Amino acid sequence: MNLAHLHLLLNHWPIIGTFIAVGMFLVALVARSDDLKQATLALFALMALMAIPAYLTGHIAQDRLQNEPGVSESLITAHQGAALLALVALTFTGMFAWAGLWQYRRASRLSGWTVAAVLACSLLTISLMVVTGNTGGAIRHPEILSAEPATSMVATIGSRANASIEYAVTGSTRWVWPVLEVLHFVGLALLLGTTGILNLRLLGFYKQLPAGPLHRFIPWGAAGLGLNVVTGMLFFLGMPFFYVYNADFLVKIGAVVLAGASLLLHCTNLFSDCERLEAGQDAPLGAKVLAAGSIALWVAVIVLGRYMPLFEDTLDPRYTLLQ
Amino acid sequence: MALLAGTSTVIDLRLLGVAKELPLSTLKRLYPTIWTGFWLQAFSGLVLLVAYPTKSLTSPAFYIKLALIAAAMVVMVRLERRLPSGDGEAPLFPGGRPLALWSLVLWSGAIAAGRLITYTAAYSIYP
Repeated sequence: MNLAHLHLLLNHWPIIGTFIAVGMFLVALVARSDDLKQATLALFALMALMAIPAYLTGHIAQDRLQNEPGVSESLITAHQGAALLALVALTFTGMFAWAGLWQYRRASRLSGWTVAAVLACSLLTISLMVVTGNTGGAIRHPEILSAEPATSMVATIGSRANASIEYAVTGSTRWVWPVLEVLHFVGLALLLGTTGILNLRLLGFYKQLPAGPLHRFIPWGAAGLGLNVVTGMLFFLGMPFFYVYNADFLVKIGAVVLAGASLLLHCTNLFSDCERLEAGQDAPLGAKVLAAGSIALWVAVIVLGRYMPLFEDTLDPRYTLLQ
Repeated sequence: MALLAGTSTVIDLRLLGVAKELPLSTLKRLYPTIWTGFWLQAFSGLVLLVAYPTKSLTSPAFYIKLALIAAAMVVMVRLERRLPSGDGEAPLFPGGRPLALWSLVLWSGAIAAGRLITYTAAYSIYP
């Protein structure tokens, strides 16, 4: 097994998962099932998180294949462009889906605009995913290639966007990077401050505070996560090869996906008991485990983030998994 | 930083109207967390300053950052003094919203100035 395997292991999930989620969402809307709607929204948000490592590891596969005979470089560029647009569309789908989950927690129903937004974004996502999967598969499966040109309009727009982001982040002025860093740190404080207080309360630290009102700060934490995903992706698009062979970075991304999933769990029905905790009441064991796990994961994300520069090129570019 | 600025942000957001169900008097219980964060930051910051003195001392952003942290802590202490004590609901005290807004601005400014030290230092390590 080598590093390029990671892309193959990860890239099918967001495509197939999003297709399944769209089907589930349509069934849930027809059947008017609130449980199925919530499960679908959670699946959309989870797929948005899982698409991040799927996208990032693509650069490793690209690097591995670039000089192989019979591999079309324009097909790789087309695949990358389509993948970027699909990632953006899926991120929007995930954000609206998260907003829908929050509406269920607060109002026990989904508003019409959220349904429309999730539906529109997810349909756009799957059409972009079709192009992504098709161009990606064609790179190594010449049997599915047709006589049509390898690039599509979607891929052209995507690869141009990719190139202009890279230029904007690293080539335009030297102040874009520091400004992104500032936003990344503000997002961190927002995310850790709001979710941290809730998690500490569930663990029993501020027992005199009722847990329900602390739960209301969660959207601010989710906004911090959104800000950091966007600024983090911009760092990555600015210089992908600084990151993909960094062992620390890959572990950090794994921790971000798990920690993001823990934030998602805070917004599902599983822990609705926690919102009814009054001052002085102890949280159930499951909630304590979630809170402890969440704190540990976010602290790991911070520590891994800080030490990242020390681990540049720690992974063997010749793709054995560890040097 | 998350303990200090993050917890202050939670207090500020409450004063600005988020999570109105949370009694104002309970916010006082978050101050030990803020002070834990403050002393952790002060200690580790001092160690870093000793380790890389030229980086910070030659950067204007460093002095701006210290001033912003000091101002933010003054705002947080003034907020604490005005928080109602005892149980029960209490209306928001006058001046609460502006102080909370100042706190958010000052903490964001301190984070920004801190990040910019690297980019504004004359030299990171003395040649």
